[in-house]
Amino acid sequence: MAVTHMSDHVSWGLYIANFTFVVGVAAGGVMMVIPAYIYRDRDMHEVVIFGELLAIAAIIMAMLFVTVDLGRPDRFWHLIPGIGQFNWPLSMLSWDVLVLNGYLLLNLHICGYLLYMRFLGREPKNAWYVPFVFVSIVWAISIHTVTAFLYAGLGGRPLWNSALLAPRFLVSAFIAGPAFLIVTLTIVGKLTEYQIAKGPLKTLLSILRVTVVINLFMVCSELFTELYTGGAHTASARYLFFGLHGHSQLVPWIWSAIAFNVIAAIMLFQSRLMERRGWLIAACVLCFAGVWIEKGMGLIVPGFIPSALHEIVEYQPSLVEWKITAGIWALGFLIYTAAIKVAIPVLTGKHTLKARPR
Amino acid sequence: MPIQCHHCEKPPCVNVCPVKATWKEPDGLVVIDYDWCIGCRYCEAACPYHARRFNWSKPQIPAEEVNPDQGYLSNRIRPQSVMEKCTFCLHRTREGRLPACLEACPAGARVFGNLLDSHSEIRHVLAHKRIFILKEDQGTLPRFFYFFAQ
Repeated sequence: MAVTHMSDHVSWGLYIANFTFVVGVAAGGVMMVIPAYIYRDRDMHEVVIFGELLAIAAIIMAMLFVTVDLGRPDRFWHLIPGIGQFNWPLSMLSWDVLVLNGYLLLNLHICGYLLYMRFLGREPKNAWYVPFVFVSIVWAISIHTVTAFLYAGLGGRPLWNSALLAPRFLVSAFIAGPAFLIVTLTIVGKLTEYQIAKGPLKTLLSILRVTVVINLFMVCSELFTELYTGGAHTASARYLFFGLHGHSQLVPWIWSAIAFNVIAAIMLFQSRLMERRGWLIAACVLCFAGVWIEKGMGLIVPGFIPSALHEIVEYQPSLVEWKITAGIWALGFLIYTAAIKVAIPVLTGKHTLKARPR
Repeated sequence: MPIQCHHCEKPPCVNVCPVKATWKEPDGLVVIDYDWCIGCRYCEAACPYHARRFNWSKPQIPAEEVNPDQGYLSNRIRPQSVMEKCTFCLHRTREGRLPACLEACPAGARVFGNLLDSHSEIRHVLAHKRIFILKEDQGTLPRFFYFFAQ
């Protein structure tokens, strides 16, 4: 921990910022599950597994981000109910441990079962996975709500202590998840033999159009409340957006997030433009990056600035922090691409019990 | 303005700890088990008084300055990568002595005592001086008060 640039003033930094964001990505996968299972969208049903695999990779990343942030990761077993001392239900972090692990297990089961049945060439039995799918829908909402409550429950941090935080988390998760999945499906459709129908992409794009706008609206609503009222409790928001007493490290950072989101929103509504693959991907990358900034460093760091005693100590991640973060992202991509590599031959029927590739 | 752990009646730091590594003792002192803390720093984020600190690097104390008489919850060398905080010198105060900060203060500006004892100096101060509680709106019911000498 000594080689990070975190301090007693800004005691959570890049790791927890990324943790918050990837929990959202994990929850965002549910935006494919809902159309597939609740609205019985057949085309979406065909590709829903990409959303569920994304959830698995993102949850593993989230757990790693928490682990690297722990001072004593060797003591993580203190968190295991039964062996350790689990402060449940009082601590939101203990809730987070439960819901994240539960979500991981749910998705491992659903993906594993469906792929294994395909591999065997058998029809999956509804009783073995459909109830779990419906539980996972509610569970996806819960993982990000709990993560928001983790911050929102702290009365001493006025920036986070807002009832709007959990709704904002969910809506920005439903930007990051679908945006990532649109890019994934486009790449899978282009580079592999797996055919991606137009329907799911269109549905995801429609979701993205709604969530991008709601997210911007919520940011405006939060900003208005903070800035119009004024007072000491709004110092963090003023620091974030305009700088405070000459300290303004995060100002360009947050305004680029806002710019990314606004530009992406405008692009997403140009129907003709969105029919072109390159522009669609550009819009998705923009809103993904925008949310990453806004919900990551743009939320966690200003929560600590000014500190509880109104001292201003700024934070910039150290090189080690950036490297470890990049490493976890790389591992996440590795898990996701490897999972897709396994899933596609099974889905296309190339790799089954009967037809093994030679 | 000096500040330290307020030993709140309702300590938010204790509620948020995921592993019960910190708690309120029966006499009201909020303590940490340094051997059980996992170093997640959730309590540091939760405390409205910035009273909790993390041991980012290994504490360096010259051997000749180390006090061999150490208590488990109080005056011990803090291990790296766990939280620490003021314990009101419980190794001293539970033996009837004053916290070290009171002995050190040249102006005698600090008062420590048993809130339940109606004859204690702290009860006299609370009854007769102008008192203010920092961030009273947080509702944590601190057991640490600021008073005006005049």
